[in-house]
Amino acid sequence: MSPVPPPAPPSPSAVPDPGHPSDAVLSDYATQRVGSAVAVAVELHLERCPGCRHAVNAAAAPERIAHNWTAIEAELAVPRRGIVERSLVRLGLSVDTTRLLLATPSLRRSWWLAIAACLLFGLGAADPDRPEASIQLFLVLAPVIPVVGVALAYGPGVDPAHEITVAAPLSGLRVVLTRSVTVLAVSIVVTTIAALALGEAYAARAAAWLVPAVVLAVVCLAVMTALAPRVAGAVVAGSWVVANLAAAGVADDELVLFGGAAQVVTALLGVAAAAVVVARRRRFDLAEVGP
Amino acid sequence: MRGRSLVAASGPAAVAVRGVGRRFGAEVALDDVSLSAHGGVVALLGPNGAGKTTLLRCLATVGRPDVGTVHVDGFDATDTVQRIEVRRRLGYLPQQVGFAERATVFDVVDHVGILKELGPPRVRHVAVVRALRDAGLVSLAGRRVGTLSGGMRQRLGIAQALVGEPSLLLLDEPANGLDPEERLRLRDRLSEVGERATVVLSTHLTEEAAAFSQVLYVLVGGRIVHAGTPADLTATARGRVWIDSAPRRDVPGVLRSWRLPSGAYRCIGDPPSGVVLDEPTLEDAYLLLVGGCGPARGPQ
Repeated sequence: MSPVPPPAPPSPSAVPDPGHPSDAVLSDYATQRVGSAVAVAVELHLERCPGCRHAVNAAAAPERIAHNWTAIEAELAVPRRGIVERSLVRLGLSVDTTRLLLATPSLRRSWWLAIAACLLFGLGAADPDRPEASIQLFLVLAPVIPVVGVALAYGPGVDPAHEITVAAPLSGLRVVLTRSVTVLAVSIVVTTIAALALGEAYAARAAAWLVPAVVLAVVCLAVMTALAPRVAGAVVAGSWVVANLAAAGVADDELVLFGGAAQVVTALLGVAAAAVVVARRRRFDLAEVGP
Repeated sequence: MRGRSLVAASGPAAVAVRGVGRRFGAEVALDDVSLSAHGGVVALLGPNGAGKTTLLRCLATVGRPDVGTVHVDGFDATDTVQRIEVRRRLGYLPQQVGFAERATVFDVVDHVGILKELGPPRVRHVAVVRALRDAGLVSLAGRRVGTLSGGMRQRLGIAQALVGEPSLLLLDEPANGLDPEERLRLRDRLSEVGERATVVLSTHLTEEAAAFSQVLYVLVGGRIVHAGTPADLTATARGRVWIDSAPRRDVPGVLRSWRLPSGAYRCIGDPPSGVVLDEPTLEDAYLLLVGGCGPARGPQ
């Protein structure tokens, strides 16, 4: 005995049926020519009418169906976002900016180790019996952290996909600034936590690293328009340490570069460096560095 | 961020390279190189150090020629403003590329989609999935780069170049690390892409060049020594290949000879009288060119 074929789905008739949308409405729906109110009504009907679903499928352009499937596939293929990414988006950052900053090459184990080393040395040297003198190492090393981060954030030799980044139309300045702000923000948060660990005895000086940290990061960016990133980072960090040693020797004050007047001069240096970055911003669109 | 159509509206990019030269210190990487292409797949064939990568980098706007001009759809690839228009048309696979080991396959291609300004996430993600599908990587979208094999990483490099359906696709040694099945799939894909875009790829393998491209440019020492179809190149060796019972390396005019499984020797060069000529292959013709005793034939 041959199996009984399943009943054919009811097909919408050419004659309008009060229980179904007309062929014309279904065709307009399939080709996106109906308003939102009609679309909602048609969709509610389609949920319970296989015949009309069949008619809509037949009327829709194959490319549109293929595109819709790809869009569904795309939604399914997007990996689940990590907690950091979700938090940043919740804080108001756009998805694209969040993705750009999380791709910062500096955010790797070696930089975190460098941060830990700088802060441990700095904190280890602190002596509550002589807070002014013993905080010098912490204040000198703290601004080096963002410099290292910026130097490892962008450019040939530090980003394995640098040529792909440069060959894309998005401005190199935007990419390098996004990454630099990222490392600067991470540096400031981590160093602030470390500074709080120093305790009340150091309160007067514990924030003095902040202006040099921001300024040195900008200076590093300016130098990166002329030198390879690692070289630029080494030059800026080395100059900062030497300047501290020299100034302390001349002025007989270990913290002379963290005083009020010095902070103003440092800030002016930062403004000048920012001007250099803007003037030479097209250097960040090149795959090779050099004058 | 400025969005743009996911489908190249203007068709294949027109590439025009004129008299390009590039030096690295005393070393000449490119010497008076000219090339044009508008659609289809073009292969740059040559030994290591012939200048293929330097030429591709000039086309990709990441390297600058010392002399000469590079234009894509009329835009100057060396001009600081116009090169942005060139970059809007580009998909680029560099010779050496790496990706963050902890990033997923999807994230890598999505990140390049952001750099290519492919529009908001929902639109861009469709382009990403298309590129992953083209590279046979959709099922690996959630895998971390650090867990991929060499062939998978190469396919990831190809996927990021394909994202956004660029009208100019530049691929430096794209078949490196791919197994025969993957090479076949790449060949199919590039053939399809060549119908709507201009594809320029580099290789040092003759069989790869013949399989992938309709037009070959052979570079030796920074100069183009032949331009034409693979059949044109093969024809240049006609009458210069023979089978011999001995290597004949000491005979003047014999450029190369190598032993065959049969025990006989295949020789290329100027054949002595009385030998039996054989039908040339693309490899014979290429070796004759690279060996420096090819017919006097400049770029077309």
